[in-house]
Amino acid sequence: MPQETSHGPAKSGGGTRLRARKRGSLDGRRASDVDETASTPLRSALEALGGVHVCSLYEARQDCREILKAFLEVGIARGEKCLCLVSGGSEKSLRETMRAASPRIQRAVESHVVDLTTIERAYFTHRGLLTQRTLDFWRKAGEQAVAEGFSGLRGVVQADGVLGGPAVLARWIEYENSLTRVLVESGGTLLCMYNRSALPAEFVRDAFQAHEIVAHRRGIGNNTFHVPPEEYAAPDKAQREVHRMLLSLGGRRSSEAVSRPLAAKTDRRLREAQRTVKECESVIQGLADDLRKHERQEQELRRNMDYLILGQQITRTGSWALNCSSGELFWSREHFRIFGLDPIRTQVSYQLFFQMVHPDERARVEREFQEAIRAGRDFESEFRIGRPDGLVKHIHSHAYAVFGQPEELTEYVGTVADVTERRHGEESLGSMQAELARASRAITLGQLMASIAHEVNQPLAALVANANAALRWLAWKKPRIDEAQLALARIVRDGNRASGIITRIRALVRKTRVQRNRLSLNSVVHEVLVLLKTELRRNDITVRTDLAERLPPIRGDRVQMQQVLLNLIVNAIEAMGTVTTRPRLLVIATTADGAGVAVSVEDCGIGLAEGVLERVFEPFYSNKPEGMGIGLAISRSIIEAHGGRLWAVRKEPAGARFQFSLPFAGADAK
Amino acid sequence: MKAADSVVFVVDDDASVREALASLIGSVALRVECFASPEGFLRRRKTESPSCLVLDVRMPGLSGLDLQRKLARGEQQIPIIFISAHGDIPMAVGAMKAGAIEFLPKPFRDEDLLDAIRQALDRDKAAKIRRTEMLEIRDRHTLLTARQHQIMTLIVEGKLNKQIAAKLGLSENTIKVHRRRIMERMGAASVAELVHMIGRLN
Ligand SMILES: Nc1ncnc2c1ncn2[C@@H]1O[C@H](COP(=O)(O)OP(=O)(O)OP(=O)(O)O)[C@@H](O)[C@H]1O
Ligand SMILES: [Mg+2]
Repeated sequence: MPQETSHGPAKSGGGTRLRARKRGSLDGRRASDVDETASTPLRSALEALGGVHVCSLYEARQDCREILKAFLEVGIARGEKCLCLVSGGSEKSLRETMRAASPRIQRAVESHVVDLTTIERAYFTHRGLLTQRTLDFWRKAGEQAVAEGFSGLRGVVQADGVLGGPAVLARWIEYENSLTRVLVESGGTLLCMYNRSALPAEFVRDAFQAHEIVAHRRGIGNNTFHVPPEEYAAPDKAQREVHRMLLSLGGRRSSEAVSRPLAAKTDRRLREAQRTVKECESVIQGLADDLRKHERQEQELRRNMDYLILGQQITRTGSWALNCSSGELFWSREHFRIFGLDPIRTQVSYQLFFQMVHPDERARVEREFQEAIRAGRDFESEFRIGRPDGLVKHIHSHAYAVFGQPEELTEYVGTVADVTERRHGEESLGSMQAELARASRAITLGQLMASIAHEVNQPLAALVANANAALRWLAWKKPRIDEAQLALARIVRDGNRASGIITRIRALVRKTRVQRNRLSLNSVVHEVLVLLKTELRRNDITVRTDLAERLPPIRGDRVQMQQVLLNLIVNAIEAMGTVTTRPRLLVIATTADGAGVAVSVEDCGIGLAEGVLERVFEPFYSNKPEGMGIGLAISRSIIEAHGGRLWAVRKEPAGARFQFSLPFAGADAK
Repeated sequence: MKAADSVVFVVDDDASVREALASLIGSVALRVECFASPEGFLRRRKTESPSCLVLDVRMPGLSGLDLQRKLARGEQQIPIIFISAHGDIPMAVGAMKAGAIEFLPKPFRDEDLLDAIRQALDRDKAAKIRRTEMLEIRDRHTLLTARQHQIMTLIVEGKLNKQIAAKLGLSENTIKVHRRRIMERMGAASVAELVHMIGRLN
């Protein structure tokens, strides 16, 4: 303020403005007109506050007089330009409120240190979106005030009706935050006054949460319910919210009404409670860590058995595992049964297996297997075996190569399926396979997820209700700290319960380590189509495959890739279920570009509304009576875990296309 | 939502949820009583104050929907707000069809629950008032003599004194006297009110 001293007292026009500014800065609170400048607690609180963006809630018009008075007087004393915006039609009553507030303010109004206009007039002279308009308005006003020789800008907005601005809390917060930024940049201060009785409660609540400082009745203080924008958008919002609430309990200080009930004693109790909560948290954290470690070990142990168990219980196919370095071979019960051998008395071995393979095919199968081992490739073969009971069976065997830490082939895990029946009835087998695929999918995803959702929602519901309860207890005229504390302690407990469940699920769903083999998506497409052959035929669906030749391999988990395609194709089949006026066509295409491989599944079914293109990926979003709504959510998480992307597009004139892309195997190998 | 004598019953087998709901509902100064099972709720002391029931759908043993049916069969009319940890649409539809106030998937917004409770209590209060009125009307109705009853039926049908007199073979004056008596006994200020009362009785 270098110009400060060059302005002498003047009697009219702009001069008065400057006089006001000067007196403010020189005299401070000890000016000649004692009663006017006497520092009220409210005023000193206002002066002491660091923030620039204050929100005040009032019910009756006279309620806002105190805060308005204090706010304007601080500004006048500091030599700031004061600009009051009010909803159209309420100018007169605001002018009256100001006049009644103090003679000093009245004088400032007369000398245009305090100016008054309507919100409509102010914001609508600026072009563009409302948010942008308001931001521009305040930026310009700040600049102009400084240009006119004021030390800064002080704004008041009194909203009697909804401004038609941002309606969603996230948008509100973003908007108010931008406004705060503008204010900080332009050296302004803003008081937003909301009429509680005239505005919808939701609107007021959101406004409340969007301001860093709040004034209510004769009190003012840091807004403990303020949601900083970076916190609002955060994915771990609930956790942060709890943290913030715990913090804000401690930080509830500063000035009058808000702080009085939280005097020394409660403050101490509060700190003790927080300490206890912290201790509890660390104990629980420790427990959770232990649990996790334990689970990891267990998973590690179970890992090798996963496919075997799956194979036995779900697909009723025999399973086997061969340790490549020790030569140790494991057969499941089902495997023994298919081979007609007694699981107790038989000592299985590599040699025994090949002895049972039909002599005509023994050499071929052994060659195929050795080649697979050498190349570290998956093994797939079909052959006949001669059983001890004299029966000849057609066997289909499929095994995955499992790699250890340094990319070294450690074992083969595979299945044997009795395909003798296939010779007699392709049809029935196909449908059985589809049935099995569906069953395994339902068991691994559907039922699992239903119970998980139930498990997680339980503590979550409790948590949310407790948080709301805490807020409400604190909002009592005499805040019920005791109740709020109890609620917060329960939040910590329930939060840990929920996170425990989630940790367990995560371990379950993501297994410890998924297989990462080089695989061709073309072959995955074929496998899945074989699996769904009957299903497709039953639904009268024509499949067109448009697969890129020499598609580069990706690195991934074959079963998971099958799962993704299965989900997408089943969805497509279901989407075309009601189509009768056009041929039901399913197009599956693979392409390669510079970055990776893309697969698309396209149908001509009921299609997707513009608004749900993203929502369909949300867990539990479904519009099918029997749907869990997790197919796409799981698929996306699988694709993303593989470093890829999965998205949906609308198709003209009808149908939907789901598409995913994955990086080349070479890209993330190493 | 002051009504200090209103009671909100909560039935949920999950202790966390119960505690949280007790606190949330308590924070708006409502009385709340929690039960871990439908059986416990059925054994509660009966109350005449306006009340409503916040009921979990899935519980071991008797489910929330079972309880709803049981209450309906036992003529225990209490507005029910269902809460459920898994969004089961057919179930929600069933519950709503059976007269539930609201079906809230867990977790729910506090306002949604509190609004529903508010609505439920209002509804219960109104129902209770209606029931008492009804009983009163019925009581009064039984005080009428056979003849008065006969005349009243005709009044309600909209017949004029003259028509009634002719029909029953009485003098118009007698009808007038009876009419006054009936109105007194039934506590009706006008014929319209009388019609309304009788309409409710049937
Ligand atoms: N190809 C499609 N065409 C039109 N809508 C689709 C298509 N695929 C998915 N959707 C919509 O997205 C929703 C979610 O799909 P998602 O696979 O996640 O669950 P779901 O199929 O309903 O149940 P499930 O968990 O058994 O797979 C579906 O209910 C459907 O409304
Ligand atoms: Mg699906």
